[in-house]
Amino acid sequence: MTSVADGQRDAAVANFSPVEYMAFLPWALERKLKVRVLRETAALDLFSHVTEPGEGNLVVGVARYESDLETIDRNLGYPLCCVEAHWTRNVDPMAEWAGVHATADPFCNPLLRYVGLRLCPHIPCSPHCQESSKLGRALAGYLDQGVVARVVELLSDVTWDSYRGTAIVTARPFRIILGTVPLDERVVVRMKGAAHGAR
Amino acid sequence: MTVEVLPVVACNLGCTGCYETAVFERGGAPKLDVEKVKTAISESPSEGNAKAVGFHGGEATLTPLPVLEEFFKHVRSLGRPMTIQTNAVRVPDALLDLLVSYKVQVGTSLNGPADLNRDRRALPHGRCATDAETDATTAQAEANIGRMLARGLSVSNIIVLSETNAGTSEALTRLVQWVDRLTDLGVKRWRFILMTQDHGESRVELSSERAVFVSKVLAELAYADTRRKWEPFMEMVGNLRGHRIGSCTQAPCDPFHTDGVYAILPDGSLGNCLRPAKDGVLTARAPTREFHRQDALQALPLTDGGCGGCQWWAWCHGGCPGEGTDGDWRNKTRHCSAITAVYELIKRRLKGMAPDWTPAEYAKP
Repeated sequence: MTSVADGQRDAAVANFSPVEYMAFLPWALERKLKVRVLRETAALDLFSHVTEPGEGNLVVGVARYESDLETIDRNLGYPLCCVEAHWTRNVDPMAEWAGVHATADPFCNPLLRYVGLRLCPHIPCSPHCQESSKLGRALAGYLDQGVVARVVELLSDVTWDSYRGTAIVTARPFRIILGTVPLDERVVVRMKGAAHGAR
Repeated sequence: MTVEVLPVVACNLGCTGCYETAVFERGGAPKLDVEKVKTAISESPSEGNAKAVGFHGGEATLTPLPVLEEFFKHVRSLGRPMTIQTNAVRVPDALLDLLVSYKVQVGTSLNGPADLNRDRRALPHGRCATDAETDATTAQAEANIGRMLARGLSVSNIIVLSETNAGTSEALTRLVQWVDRLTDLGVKRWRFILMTQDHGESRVELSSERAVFVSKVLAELAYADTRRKWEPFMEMVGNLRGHRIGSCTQAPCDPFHTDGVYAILPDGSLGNCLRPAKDGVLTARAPTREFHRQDALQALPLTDGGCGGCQWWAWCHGGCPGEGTDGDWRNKTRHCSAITAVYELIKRRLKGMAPDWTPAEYAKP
């Protein structure tokens, strides 16, 4: 949201509980941001690709100009290559990177998004997408740099191993086990590499 | 559930097919913290099967005796019975006295006499033991079982079945004769486990066809003589009769929150059964159970390597994740055909005696 206020992006979308929203609203209005509740959904407990109608979670759009809220999906600041890739995907995006053993920039690594550990706000079109890395770095500038350093460290070696509907995501200190799109073949993606130009 | 304390994650033997091989090779097990382990024991579940506290490893007898005694004393103060799992190679008199004094039930692991036990090599992994050294160690273990029985300890034994002790009819016959002889000496219960080999040693895991044959032979023998308290064959009958699933290998299992084993690691932290730990990582116990594996296996038809439509699902649940095909816990057990063959055998027997008999849904915990 700060990135929108700063002009880094035209618009952004975030999930808030009603209580969080009430705290957020004065902050946004003070910065002359335009705010719109786009959808009300069931409360989110964990990571999810989809939401269900219900109560407890507000999907909120924020922009500097009212007109940007009208066409918010086009103004979120995601690189065009990634937007295009998003609309052509039909399985888990990670599965499309099957066999990738990439030396990838942690700022462009989405493999720990299930627990909220990501610096790039979207799934890049490829592990080497430079526009996504750029955006990830710009947004990381708004975070506590100690936290960023730790997240970069965690994202510097992650394996995503999916088989028959269960993915095992392994970072050095922990594993995440989650349901995913069931595939007949085992699919392994490994993203390893230090941040270019970062400590 | 068994509460298992792992005071030592190391072993004096180097057994082919040992499911802890990768853990030993990887190293890095936490250091023993006696007080934290004691606290974890006090806080562990103590209802039903979990009442007993088991000392496991690695090889539990490598724990310094004063430390072991401190643990035994603590468990006794909680009013809980205790067990120890050991290869029985190292049972000095002082340890024997301790086991007797604290009435510890002993589980041993011996795959048979002499050459039938040669999968249990006499030196740890990475060191080469000769057959003669290994046979001497086996003789010592067998003698120690005799010593423990002579002192009135309750002893049961686990046999891992492989080409070495069950690959030929001659070997299998000698194995059964040995089991009967030790039963007469006082070894009460026996558990036969098909070897699951996921590490780079020379292959001795039984082929699927041989595993079916050996399992059926042992099951038939178990049902032919009431002295033979042989598991899992007796439990499998109980399963089909609607008892609570007898063995954790046939109950639904989450490898990151194992119901069968509530492990207390050397630093007092909580872990899991090590059978699925193919990469040697001692994973922390997840706070809740998840059943992704069972969901996926049920969704996949038998023809695609799943369990969808299998008539034995309710009594097997895809088997132990540590036996997953290709060393992947997401797959069903590689011993599927042996398990189903035994269930078929039991069904034929029971239906022969009572034609209207049908398997009972197991009693859900």
